[in-house]
Amino acid sequence: MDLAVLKKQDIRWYQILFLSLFLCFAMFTLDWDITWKQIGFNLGLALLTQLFFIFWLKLPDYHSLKSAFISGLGICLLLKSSSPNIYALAIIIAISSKFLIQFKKKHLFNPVNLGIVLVVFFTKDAWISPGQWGATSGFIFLFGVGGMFILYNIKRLETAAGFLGTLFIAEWIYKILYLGWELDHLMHDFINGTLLLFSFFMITDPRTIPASPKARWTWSIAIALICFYLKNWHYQTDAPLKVLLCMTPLVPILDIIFKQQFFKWNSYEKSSN
Amino acid sequence: MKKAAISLLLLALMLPYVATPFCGFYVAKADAKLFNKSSQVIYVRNGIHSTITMANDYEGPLEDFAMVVPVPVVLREHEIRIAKSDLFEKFDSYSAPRLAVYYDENPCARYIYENEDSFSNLKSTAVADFAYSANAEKEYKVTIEAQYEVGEYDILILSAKESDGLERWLTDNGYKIPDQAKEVLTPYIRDNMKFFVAKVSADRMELKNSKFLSPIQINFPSERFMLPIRLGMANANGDQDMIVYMLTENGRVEAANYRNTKIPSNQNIPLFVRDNFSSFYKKLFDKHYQENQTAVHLEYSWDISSSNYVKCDPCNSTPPSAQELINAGVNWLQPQRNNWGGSDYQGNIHFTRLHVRYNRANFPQDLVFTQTSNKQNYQGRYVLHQPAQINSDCEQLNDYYLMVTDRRYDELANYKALTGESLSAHLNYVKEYESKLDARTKRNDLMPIIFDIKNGFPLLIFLVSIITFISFSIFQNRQKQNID
Repeated sequence: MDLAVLKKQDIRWYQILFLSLFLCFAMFTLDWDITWKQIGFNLGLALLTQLFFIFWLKLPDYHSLKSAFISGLGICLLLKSSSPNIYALAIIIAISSKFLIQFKKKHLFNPVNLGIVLVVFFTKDAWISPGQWGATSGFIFLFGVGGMFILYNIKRLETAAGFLGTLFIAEWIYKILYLGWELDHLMHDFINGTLLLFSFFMITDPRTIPASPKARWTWSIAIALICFYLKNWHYQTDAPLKVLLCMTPLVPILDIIFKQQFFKWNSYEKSSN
Repeated sequence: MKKAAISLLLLALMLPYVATPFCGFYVAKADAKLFNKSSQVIYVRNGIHSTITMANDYEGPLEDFAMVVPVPVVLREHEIRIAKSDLFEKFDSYSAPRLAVYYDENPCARYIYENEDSFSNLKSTAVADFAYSANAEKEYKVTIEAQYEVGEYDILILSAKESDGLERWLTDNGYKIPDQAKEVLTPYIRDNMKFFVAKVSADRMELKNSKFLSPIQINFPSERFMLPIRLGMANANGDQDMIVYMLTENGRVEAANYRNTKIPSNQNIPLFVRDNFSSFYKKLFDKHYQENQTAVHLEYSWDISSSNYVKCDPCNSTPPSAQELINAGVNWLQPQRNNWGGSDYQGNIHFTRLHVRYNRANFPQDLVFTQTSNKQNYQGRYVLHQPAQINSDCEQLNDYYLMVTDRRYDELANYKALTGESLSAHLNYVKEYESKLDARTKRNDLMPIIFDIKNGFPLLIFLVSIITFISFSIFQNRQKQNID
């Protein structure tokens, strides 16, 4: 693909393409409870909420609708609930948080992460299924190719590498060298779709992670180590999402320590979220 | 149900396997062939508290019975007890996949109402006497953390420093360890797991005056919500089946480190399945398993809270009672004297039945579970339609025969999709009613059956991807032109 053309493109189109592909793949091949109707509702509501804020805050353009669509897809891919209200709540929290919780004119929390963790924690009808993707090589290939393509283009590949690499080394030392499990026991965790989706599409969201490369390394390694601890000593099955949320308030601090220009999705974007 | 009467055929458990306790392995002194093929476990999870009941239908060289199960903590005496074996029969029959029969209304008269009996198969178990000595732990670096007599069992809780020592201890005390088990002892020891070792005392077995071994129930606090299946794979020949009955307060239990699927359900199937429903379900499960080998399969999930009046629909058996739930280890319900609203208890509780068919290649890790707040009900349910008995003639008859013929086409197509069986032996099933149709409405091909829509899915995905990408490229080119 012609990279010169890509540079003029908004990479979020590709993000939408890949996430939609994952969702279609999951809907056709996996036993998910979410319905197409619910997916349509979620995506529509995400766009509407974003539009509401665009009009309310009189934003100059509509480019940020792409981000809202991506958040909608993210919630369809990760959150489970039997009630449309819960999905609606998660989406409204996710999109509003971008406008309501800001630090230095940059939104603080990863919208999907915040929306999901809050509804799972505070409502009685929302949950996450860490095993929903299973450990199938087809997904790894899709997630890997799609994720790396996007991260390469937004120059955030090192964040995924820092997170997955640290987690892999820590798990390898603990599970293989210390406990003595076989390699496939270890690999089973790393071909899990949920972990890969998190690594390539959530922890690497350029708008809500530290701006400087050094800070991003520190950040991703720290998250990996905390996840490793929670998973192996407290048997938490959904540690990454929780850890990411709890670590988010550190982002402004890291940004102050390591000064760097904030990320913008594309050159002509002025102040979209 | 107003229009139809439902009757049930109860499916018994999956079949004539030798059933065993779950995650441990049986060890024998002699080189007897041992099978460890299928097992049932009741798992009650409350906060960080686990109560695990293991069915004990050991069928092997009886005098050699012994079992080894890894546990996360040293169990105290009151944390080990004997459970009633009828718990498993009850939970199995309550949650087993079910067959519902609907009776067509006679187009010329009223419908007929009928109920069928349910059946369940019981397995016999036998017993072994086994004496052991538990000395000499020092040279093996094996510590006997605790030693109890519970029911007919002599139980030891062992901890070990190294797998060699544990292996030698077990061998020297009369246990023969399967080769593959040795490999997984090390990770368990290093992970600070203890080993629950049980044998049967000959004297107490005689006193018990029954030849059936009792299920063992253990309960302990631990953040680990898992079943250690890896050790149980040790002496398995190929695939092993395990059925886990989960009882939790908030909602359905899922596997956290494996994919979860639901067994196909709620489909109309041909009437001839009625006589061999067990074999039908076995074929269905086999086919479903072949397509989802690395997954854990949901067979039943039901909110049996006191607030939910409908405890099953249709019911294979009466729902679990307060006493049965308490026996299984549920401790958060308040029993009530009167059976108000369909339950003799107050409180929230969810019943999940998971079926796992595992082997070493597809299940490299122990099963880790997570409790979700999913209260949606799900069951394996297959529907038969019994055509009406027609004794008279009337105007509506041809329409009725046409409806039955079409329905039977669908039933056969479902049957093929569910079991993968060829339909050539069953064509008369449709012809029986087709032959009664007027000549002009007769159908003369089996197209609906031959085209199986499910095979089209990969193609569909491929097409969707291609179309998306092409439209995307067009869009991209346009934008490029705009920018240029």
